[in-house]
Amino acid sequence: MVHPSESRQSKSPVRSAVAGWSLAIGFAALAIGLLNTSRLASIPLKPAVVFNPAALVPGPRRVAMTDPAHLMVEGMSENCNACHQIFRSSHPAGATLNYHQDVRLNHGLNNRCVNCHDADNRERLTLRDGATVVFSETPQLCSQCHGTVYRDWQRGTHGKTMGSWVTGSKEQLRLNCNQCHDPHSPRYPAYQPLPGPDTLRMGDQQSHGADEPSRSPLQRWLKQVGTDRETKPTLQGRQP
Amino acid sequence: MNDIRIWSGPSASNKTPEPELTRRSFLRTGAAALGGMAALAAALSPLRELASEDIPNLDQLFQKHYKEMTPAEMEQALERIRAKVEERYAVRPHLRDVKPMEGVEFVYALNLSRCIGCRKCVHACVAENNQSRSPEIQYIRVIEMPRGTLDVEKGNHHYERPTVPDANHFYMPVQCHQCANPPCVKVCPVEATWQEADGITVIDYDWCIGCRYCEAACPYWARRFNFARPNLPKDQLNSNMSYLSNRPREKGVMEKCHFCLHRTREGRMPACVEICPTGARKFGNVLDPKSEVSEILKTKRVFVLKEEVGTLPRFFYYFDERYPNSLDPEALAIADRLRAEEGEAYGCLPDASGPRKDFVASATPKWWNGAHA
Repeated sequence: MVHPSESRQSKSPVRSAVAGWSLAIGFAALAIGLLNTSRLASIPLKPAVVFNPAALVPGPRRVAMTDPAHLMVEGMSENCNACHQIFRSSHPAGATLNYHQDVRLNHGLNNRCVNCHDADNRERLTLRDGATVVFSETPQLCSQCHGTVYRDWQRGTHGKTMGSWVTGSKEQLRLNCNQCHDPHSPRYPAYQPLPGPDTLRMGDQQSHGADEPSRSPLQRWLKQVGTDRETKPTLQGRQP
Repeated sequence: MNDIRIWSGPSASNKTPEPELTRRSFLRTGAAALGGMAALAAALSPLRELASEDIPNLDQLFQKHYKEMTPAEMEQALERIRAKVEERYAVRPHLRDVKPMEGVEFVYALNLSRCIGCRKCVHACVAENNQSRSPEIQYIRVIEMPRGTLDVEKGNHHYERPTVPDANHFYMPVQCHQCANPPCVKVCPVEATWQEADGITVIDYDWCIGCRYCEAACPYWARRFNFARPNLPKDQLNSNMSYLSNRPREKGVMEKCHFCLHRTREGRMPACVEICPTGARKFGNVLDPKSEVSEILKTKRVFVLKEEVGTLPRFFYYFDERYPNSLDPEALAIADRLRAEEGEAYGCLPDASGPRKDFVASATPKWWNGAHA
């Protein structure tokens, strides 16, 4: 029977001294190396995007004419009829206006004031059948031409709803046609977009043309090796 | 028998002498130990740069999972968060834990015919939900897509234009789809994210370990990771907050859109719906047959993004029938071109030069009277 420590006795004291000192020197070198490495890499932060905070105020897009109809004239609130009983304007198509300079009429074929405004009472709107409605009942007027949109608006699938999602609650506010669309120029105006995202993921953000679909490094590489996505058949099946 | 060595326990007969502790061996061992400790300390030295704010305190460390907390424990956790927010932002927040409402399942619908790509929703969301401003975290991505395709890979979310919309593109905002079969919930190893009764998938920011599995699992790139401590100016903090939604996050946790549950569970609209200048965004309770989203699902042609991956999103896109904008000559021209190209591809629509040469007479439908030939 042999004790296992018998094999240890065969180790020479020189070898163990070399092992011990090399271990000590190795640890010391490791410590020096680790201390010499750079600190935690700090990613330089870009300053946060800045834009006009007024862009984030929720509410109707425009101030619609309310009832009773009035206009600010030189700082005074005046009824429409206060002037229009004196000035009986003519009604040619696409009339150039002497007074209401802010009105830009761009409503397609609907280009006469009295198509919508009542000729006799300027505080009312006129319907096709000769009946008049107040300004807050614009949808009734618009629906005479824009039937499908009016149907969608009634269902709530067109138009903006604010305040609450609870159907019929007091807080829920359904906007009228003229609270979003300018009735004289109903097409939506162009908006200046707020700043875009700052993502590293999509690669080079500087060089983008209008029609280049993506600037990801992968796509650039695919282009280089000749696998151009644009030549692949798409959903439309336009490739011969 | 001599060559078989079996350990039979220590025996007094062949006991080896203890190795003698010489001065030399003591120095050797001591130097090695000292070197080892120095190396360990050097390796740990970056810990000195860890901010004390990023180290959780004991209360936070031993806080239970959201679903296991008693109301008293929840109140304790809320109080701890309130104190921390007050310390960091000098504002006493209106923080509470809002529970789902009975009989409500939220659904989102987005009208692609109306979205103009103005990105107001993106920034209203950031302002509402206390996201980090820099490094930037945004829940909504507005993708500018060329007209005529729904291939998201052809889209670009870095568009910068003086004005939007561009006549050659349409705009498709993408955010968390609050899937009914959410892959992000399945992959979470610690159940830090789950689906609530009203369909909103939420995250317990105190339970998240930041492994980012959910980010990889999400097919819509809806989840964001806080690589650094969120950087939010004190004066821009929204003090109306709830535990599962927009309370300030810590470094190293995931976050995502939660349909503004601190607003919507109290009957209000999400911030993105409220700000949308065109009314393209619609939100409501799908269990209410009279709600706007129910009407949209009934009467509009809706689709979901990446239907084939089986996530069953609660986020629907739809188009209006009216296309293109009849007042926009540019859009009309594009529509004409697309129609002509489509006709060519399918061989079923005549163009100005008459029917295609490969148009076989026997395949001509009965109603075709050759008027355009």
